[in-house]
Amino acid sequence: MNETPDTSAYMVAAYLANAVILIGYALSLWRRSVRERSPRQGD
Amino acid sequence: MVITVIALAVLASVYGMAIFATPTERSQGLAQKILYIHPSAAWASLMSFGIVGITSLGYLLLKDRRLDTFSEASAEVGLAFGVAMLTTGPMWGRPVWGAWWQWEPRLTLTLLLVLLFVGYRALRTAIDDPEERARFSAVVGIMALVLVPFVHLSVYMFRTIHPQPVFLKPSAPSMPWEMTRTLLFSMAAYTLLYVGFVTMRYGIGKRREAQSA
Repeated sequence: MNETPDTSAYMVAAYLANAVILIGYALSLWRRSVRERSPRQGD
Repeated sequence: MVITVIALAVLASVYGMAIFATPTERSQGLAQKILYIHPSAAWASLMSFGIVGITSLGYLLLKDRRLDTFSEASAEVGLAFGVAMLTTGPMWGRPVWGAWWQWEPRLTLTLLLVLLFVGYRALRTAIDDPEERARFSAVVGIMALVLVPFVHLSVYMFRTIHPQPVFLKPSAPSMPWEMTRTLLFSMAAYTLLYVGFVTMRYGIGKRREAQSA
């Protein structure tokens, strides 16, 4: 019977990359929301 | 923001469920667990782009600016999910197919769809007049909607090495229940994340419009 291959590094890399992309996008939305809410100079 | 935070917490529990409470597939090893996040990112991306097409069509019919603002929001969110999909896919392909990328129909069509929405964003940035911008980008959004079913059906229409759908097909899910429930949970988490992201992005678009008016 074939042994299960050790592919754990790919899983860890994919899960990390996915988290970085989605959390990064959430933070970018939050930052832009705060910026758009704050009054601009001359307002 | 609240929905996004809840959705990210649900996504964290998807990670926990996939890693600790779902069996490891014997022939692929732990890399198979990438398939609990990659198809969900693909689902969220295609859903976002599909909604852009529908709201774009709505804009052309009703001329309601809110539909254009929503299209813009959904397109950007779709791109974020598209980046997640195109990043996690090759990380599964390398150990299973022996290659990071294959120029086969599903992957190539998906890449074209994502690039089409990069163009959609560029188009929106290039046009100053709000009415003209909304009209032109609605046409692109509708054209992209035509591509969405082709991406999904490409695994049936062409000879391809990409795995076939697990849920969105006429027959029953082709995975054991322990794996199916994790994938279902993941798809629900990404759908909630879409709602959170698009709500935030729509709010930003509305405030920008109000400030420029």
